[in-house]
Amino acid sequence: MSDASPTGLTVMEDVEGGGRTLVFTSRIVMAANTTLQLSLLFAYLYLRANNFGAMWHPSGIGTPPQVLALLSVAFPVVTLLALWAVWSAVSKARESNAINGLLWLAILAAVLTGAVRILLMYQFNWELDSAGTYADIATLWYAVLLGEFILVGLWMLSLVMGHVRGNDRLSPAHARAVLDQWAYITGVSIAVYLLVQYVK
Amino acid sequence: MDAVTTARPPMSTPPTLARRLNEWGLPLGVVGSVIGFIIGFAVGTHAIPYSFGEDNSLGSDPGILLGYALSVVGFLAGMGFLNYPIGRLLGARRPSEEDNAYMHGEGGGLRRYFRMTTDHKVIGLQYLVMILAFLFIGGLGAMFIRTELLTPSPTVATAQSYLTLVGLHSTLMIFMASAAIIGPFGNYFVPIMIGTRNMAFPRVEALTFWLLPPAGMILLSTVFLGGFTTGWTGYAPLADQNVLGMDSYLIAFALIGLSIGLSGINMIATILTKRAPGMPLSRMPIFVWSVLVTSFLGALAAPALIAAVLMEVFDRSYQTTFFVPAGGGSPYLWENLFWFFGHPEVYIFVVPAFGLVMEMLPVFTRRPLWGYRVAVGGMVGIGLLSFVVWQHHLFVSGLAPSLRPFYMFSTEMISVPTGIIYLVSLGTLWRARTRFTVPMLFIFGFFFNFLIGGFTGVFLSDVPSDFTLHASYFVQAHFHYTIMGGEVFALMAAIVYYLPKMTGRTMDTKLLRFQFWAVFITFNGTFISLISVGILGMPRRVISYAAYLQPLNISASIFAYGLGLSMALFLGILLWEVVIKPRVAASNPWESLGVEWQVPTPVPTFNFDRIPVAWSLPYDYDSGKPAADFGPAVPALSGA
Repeated sequence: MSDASPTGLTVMEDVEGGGRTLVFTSRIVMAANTTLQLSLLFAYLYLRANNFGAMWHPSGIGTPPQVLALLSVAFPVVTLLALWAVWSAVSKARESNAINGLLWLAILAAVLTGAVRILLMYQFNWELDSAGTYADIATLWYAVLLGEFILVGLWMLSLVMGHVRGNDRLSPAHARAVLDQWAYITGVSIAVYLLVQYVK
Repeated sequence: MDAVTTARPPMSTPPTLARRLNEWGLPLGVVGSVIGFIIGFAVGTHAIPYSFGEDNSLGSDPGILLGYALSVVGFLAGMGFLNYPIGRLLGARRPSEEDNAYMHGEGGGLRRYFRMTTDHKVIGLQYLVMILAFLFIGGLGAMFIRTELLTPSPTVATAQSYLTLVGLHSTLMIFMASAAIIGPFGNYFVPIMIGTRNMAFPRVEALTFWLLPPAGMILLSTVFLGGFTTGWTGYAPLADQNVLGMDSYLIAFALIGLSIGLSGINMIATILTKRAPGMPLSRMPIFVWSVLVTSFLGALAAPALIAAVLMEVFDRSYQTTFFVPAGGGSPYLWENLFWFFGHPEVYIFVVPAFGLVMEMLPVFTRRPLWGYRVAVGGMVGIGLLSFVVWQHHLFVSGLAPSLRPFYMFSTEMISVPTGIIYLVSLGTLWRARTRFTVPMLFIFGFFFNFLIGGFTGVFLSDVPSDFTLHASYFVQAHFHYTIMGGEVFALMAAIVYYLPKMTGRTMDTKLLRFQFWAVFITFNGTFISLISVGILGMPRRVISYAAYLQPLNISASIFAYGLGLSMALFLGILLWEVVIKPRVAASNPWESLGVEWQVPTPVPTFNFDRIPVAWSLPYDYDSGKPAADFGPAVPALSGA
């Protein structure tokens, strides 16, 4: 039931942004998240530069446990690689059982990411009222990243469940959007790890 | 892109349990919030038995903070916001078209206004009613403040309760002002103006609204927790030292920040990806441009506020010392983060007000909008510059002297794009056959007030004069001239202008003309008096002042009472003409060419039978050519 308008453009039933809207919005969310991360970075550098009352990093205050901190950035990278492989397969319209396996691998690594990060924060062992502002900002930043990993992880799980149960096949746009988000947070978490461990 | 004109399926299947529960969204939300608060309060109090502020028998900061946070989660769960994400987490099917139509409010009658719906028009009206209600409460606060300031020494209130009153009034007004135009008019009209059936993320749109009532109630609950003495800026270290009432401010502000940020992201996605064919950016209505610029401001500025609030929440509940000098923190950190959000926030108020004014001007001048591209450039310029001016709020806070010239310059620079928009708007009036309707009167009032607001702002951007005027009533009057004299006047113009489209009702113009002159005269009487007391040195946020300032304060208070009465008259007329004794409006009483006025009234549930094709900007009053092609006339699918 085609019906050309006098403009020569095609009249249509609805403006379906669909996948384009999703991928675009995912990037806008990243831009907003960047302001949040830059605010935390500003706080980190501001407090470090001023070192008010020599309370930025008082003696006796350590850094986060190295092994756990490394694991907390290693597991997201595993998830990221698995998601990239999924996106690559989905965008080429490949139907294979390997996609399900990769999705479950991504979920497993995401769960481990959350678990390790909770354990890591539990291991900080800082008395926050006297540990200085280095400990404060590190704690807050790790908490914010944990929250973001959990949110994106839940979104990923919802896509996986729909796909695995066959109710909602994973679209390239969904795969790309969740990949973008996870990649962004993983990148930030690596930067934060380096900052907290080495720019004390 | 084939043309298909499909009728939506009628409601055929019996309502599911989720739908039945959704019908009771608001009461269930209230129950959920109470349960959430009890759980959060108990866990927070017992798991984290610590309170930074003064000892308080009402509970601890962690208890209150966690209680509020879970009460919001409970409220949203009761409203049904978690149904969809939980369903997705369980791998359930996507909602059917019938489910979507139900969620859109089709056939929902009046009850859909009290539950979660995804219809942008219902959400727009929900916003309008809520904002007017909270503005009324905030206005009552202003009346109390002016009553207290009739005399130089405390009479009605104590210093503590006065500061809480000032903080409540200002914070509530700031909350509502941030959504006053985009909330009702952006949500209602942007999808129609760009020719789409709905927002990009309708559930997110509903969420941005339903975060606000809990935010408002949580803020008001501060009176039961000792209040807060920081004013709307929440400055540390006072915020760290405040009693439990401060927690209300923090959670409420976090919710507002979240709402602003999500709303901005949703608007950007909608405007940039869901425009009708034939509508490149260069053919977007000017109001949509203003919403787009504002949305970028909201999406990019609100996260800074959320970061600052998180730090303060951590300070008050986990013993961190971000803003406590003894622990290595700095109150200036709060000031920087807060104003990085706070100054763009001012343009979140003003830019959409200008957008609305420029949208209405061609209708009442019967000429095309003058300088459309320049106006768009001005808005974008404001948006960009607004991120590099925040430190002018810190001129007297110990800001490094070497930084002052830059921030003075950048702040003064922002008056250039603002002035451009102002002049472009006036250009449309040149040699126009102006129709002096009620909305047009308010537009003239907007121009007059904003001019004074702008001029007074120049003094505050200038370092030497800011040192004299900072924290005085001059600042307060400047702010009210731009926000109340600017945004609220534009809001009143828009209510009168768009009411026929939104409700099918109109308001009595004779009474409204009287109301306009009353509000215009009393507004200026109030704030010219306050500019004067500011120049004479009266500081803000004090309950006592020098005796020689009393005559001017009495003048301000008397005019303020008149202002309060005239605003109440506006609300009274609105209530009377819309609800009690409805006055039916013509379908396009202003003879506008805008797309929004070409669709039927009431607007069909899904806006259009078919998506229109944009032909031109909707301002071609010289030829009277419509802005879009709607295709062959097809009966509306269903009434809104």
